[in-house]
Amino acid sequence: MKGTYLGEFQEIVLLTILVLDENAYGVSIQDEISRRTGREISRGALHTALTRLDEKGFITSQYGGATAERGGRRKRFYQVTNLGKNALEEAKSIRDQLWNSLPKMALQRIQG
Amino acid sequence: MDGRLKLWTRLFKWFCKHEHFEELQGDLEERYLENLEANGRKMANRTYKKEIIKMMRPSVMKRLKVKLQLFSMSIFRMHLTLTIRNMKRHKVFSFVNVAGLAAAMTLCLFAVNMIYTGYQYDSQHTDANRIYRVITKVESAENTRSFATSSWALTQHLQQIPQIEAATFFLSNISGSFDVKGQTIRLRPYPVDEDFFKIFDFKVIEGNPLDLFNDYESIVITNKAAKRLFGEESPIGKQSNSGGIIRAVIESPDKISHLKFDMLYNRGLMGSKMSASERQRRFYQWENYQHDYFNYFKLAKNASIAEVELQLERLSELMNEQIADTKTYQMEVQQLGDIMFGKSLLNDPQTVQPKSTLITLTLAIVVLIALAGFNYTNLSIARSLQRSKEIGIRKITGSSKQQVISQFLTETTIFSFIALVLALLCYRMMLPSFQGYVKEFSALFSPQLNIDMVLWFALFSFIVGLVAGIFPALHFAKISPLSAINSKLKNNLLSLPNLKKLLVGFQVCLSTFSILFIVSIAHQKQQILTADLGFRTEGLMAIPINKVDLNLLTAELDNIPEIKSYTASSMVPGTGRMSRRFMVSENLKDTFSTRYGVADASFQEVYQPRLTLGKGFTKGVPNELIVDESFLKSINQPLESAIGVTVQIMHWDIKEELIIVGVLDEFAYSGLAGNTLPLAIRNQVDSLETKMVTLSLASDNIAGTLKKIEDGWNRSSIDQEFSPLYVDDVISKNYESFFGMMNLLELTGAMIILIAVLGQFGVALFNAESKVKEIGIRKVLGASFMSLAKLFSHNTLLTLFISALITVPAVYYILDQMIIPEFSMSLTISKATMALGLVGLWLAIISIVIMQTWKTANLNPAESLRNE
Repeated sequence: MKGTYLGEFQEIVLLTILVLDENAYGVSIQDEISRRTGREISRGALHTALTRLDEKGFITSQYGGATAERGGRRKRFYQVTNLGKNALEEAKSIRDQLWNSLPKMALQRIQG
Repeated sequence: MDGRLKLWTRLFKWFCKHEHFEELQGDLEERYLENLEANGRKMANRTYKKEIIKMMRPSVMKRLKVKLQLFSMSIFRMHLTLTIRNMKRHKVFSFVNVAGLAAAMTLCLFAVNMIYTGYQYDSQHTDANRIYRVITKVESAENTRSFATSSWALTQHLQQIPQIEAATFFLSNISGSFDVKGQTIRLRPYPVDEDFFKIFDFKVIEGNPLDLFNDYESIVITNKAAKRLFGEESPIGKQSNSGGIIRAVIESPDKISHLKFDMLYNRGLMGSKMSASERQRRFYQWENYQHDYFNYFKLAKNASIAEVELQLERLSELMNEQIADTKTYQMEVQQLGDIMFGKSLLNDPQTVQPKSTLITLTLAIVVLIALAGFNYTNLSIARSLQRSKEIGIRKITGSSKQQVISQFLTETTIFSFIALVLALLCYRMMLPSFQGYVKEFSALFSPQLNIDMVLWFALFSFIVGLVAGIFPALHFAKISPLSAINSKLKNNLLSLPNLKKLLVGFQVCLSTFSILFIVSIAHQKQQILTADLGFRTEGLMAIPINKVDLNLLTAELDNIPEIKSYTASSMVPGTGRMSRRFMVSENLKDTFSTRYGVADASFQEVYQPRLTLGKGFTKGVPNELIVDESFLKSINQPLESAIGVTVQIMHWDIKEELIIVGVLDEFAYSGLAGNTLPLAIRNQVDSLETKMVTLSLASDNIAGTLKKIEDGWNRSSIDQEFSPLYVDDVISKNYESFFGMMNLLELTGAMIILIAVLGQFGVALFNAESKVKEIGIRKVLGASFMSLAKLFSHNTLLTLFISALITVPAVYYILDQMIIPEFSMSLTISKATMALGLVGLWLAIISIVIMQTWKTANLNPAESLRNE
């Protein structure tokens, strides 16, 4: 089903929001992803992913208090909804199934 | 936040969906501040702009309805058809536009290439944004000077700063050489340490460059040097003249890095040869900041440059304390990316071009494109009556403003793309001559075009099209359909005819300026090449003696009757290549540095330098000296009693006493005004210093004489190449770097004139065409061709006259204040040449106008008046 399909990057974003717990907003998500995966992503790319997740109902968000370092602008904090958590679990179980059904030989490196 | 980023922020606000702006802008600003702290302003600004560009995506952007409609495909196709029809019907109009644009663009392509190449410099190093150079600012009572170099003593301090990951130090201006097939080839080495390779990345072609640090004998050369020395052979294991063994070959820094070397060797070698006291003096003292010592370092990850700057401030205090003179020293950091097109610093490698070069190039682009754009605007205005009817009809049939604008923009963009294709062809054709023409900038110029550059060019031509078309487009879009069809355009101050006059006037001014400039420069060049340098230059031939035994060679030369006389010397005068020595005056009061050369007693016979006083050298007296007047000033010696005065010369540790036997009259050490050190030439043949034999030939049969000399050369040398040079040529080569700049300006000027003349041609043509009826009526009433020509050229003459009034003083001022002071000889501005150039341009433009009038006037009035 196209509507609830979870892309690889979207999955990483969802997990990162869960890892950050209370403190998941734009900059912190970006930093966490680059720290953990070594991937530098632009804020714009992250926005697109967040919009998609929001459209699917996997996340909700609310504004926090204003801070001076942001020119008085409010942060927007993200939370994963139950629907999002379900989607994550589903994605994980599909992967686990695939991993479990791998024949042992498949992962052996070919000796050269 | 940085003021320059305001525009970007506004852009972002403009295209971002309102409901997301607060969140996204807040995040961007937080990220910016973080970056500012960690990576410095430049990096933070760059990231900020990059982030905003990456925000241009559907999930962030507002829906822009108008824009979408503007680029609808069917309308575009219609505009395309209209453009093609218009081009077919108005061939002259299209030709003038396309040719002018193509001429301008050809030169712009070269300029864009240079700017692009310049910005690519040093981008191949990993983490180039973390690499810095330490520069030294010296403030004294008179001035503030900035050096690209810094003290040797700084090196070990840098290595101890924890925020620095790697720090390297090297020297330039050392020479190394290889003997290949009897020829000595000079290379520029850098003595480096291991950190050099941690900071700079040059591709390894062969071997392992780190082998350099196993011993003191290993060297690394660049692929270009390898090719020059050994051709296709592998250079590994070959030996240099001083015993270095090649261990590896790396990519040459030419055109990709501001560093300039052909060879690297272990810096440890220098220390190993020094005594303990010398090591102390050279390694640990701060005084030697202005020699060719360079310090580079790489900032550690996540460290802030501000902390290093703080440390440098502390070290600067140490430096001031140790040197303890009246000057103040301040060490600063300079990011690698800021070196090219950055501040102009003393001692920078030659490859580095200052910001002024970037400005000159950009200015050339802007002026050329603006002029070509004017052509389009002018011609559109000239056709405006016709054109406004066309637009009127389109509006009546329901075209919107945007559609009219987009039609004009489509037209100009297509013009500019055609021009781009032509320009690319011209570019290909001019490429080889261009490189030779602008020698000084050839380091900034890469002959191969890559995809990136072509894309930049395409983008460039697109922008050119938009810029050239926007003015007429806006104008025609505003026309009300009824008035366009019914009547003439209203006449207010900013009306089209007035605007046209303004643009034409501006164009003519610029082209007058260019032609005056070009002829004056040509005249100056001629003057420079034939200027009196204080000695004879014509008919002389210099032979570099390389490794040939001087005694054997002179024995051969003595046997050739066609040689009137010859002299062995250390230099060819006038080319600036002389060594330096310290001299001490007779009373031991003054020590000063002089330019120093040696020549034997026949020097006077061959070069015939003018002497104000004294007889000059006597054969076989090696302690004689001839000097110039500034030398006498440094020892406080009046001119009259100068002969017979003794001075002491110091060759590092040896002192010798020399007697002045002659005073030179305006002897030019170099044609270009360098610094004005005193000058001395000594009557001596020195096995180390003597490098040239200059011959004065008696015979007219140069070729035959040359053959004889070559035979003599071959007998006295073993496999050395015979490479005679005309002294005139050697001297004119010395001016090349300056002429390179002048050539670039000349080329720009020639293009400006071409474009302006093309424009004049177009405007004259349309003027004459639109006045067919007027001319017909005048002829019927009895006007002669002369009176018609006078009538039509009256306005053009006025424009030319006014433009000359403005530009002549400007050119005069620029030559007088900016160009002539660059040279050491006295040059004059020729009024006759300037007048000639001016008259030439005037004649060209007037004849175009008269020719068009002639063509129209020859029409039969019965024909031209027949139909309305």
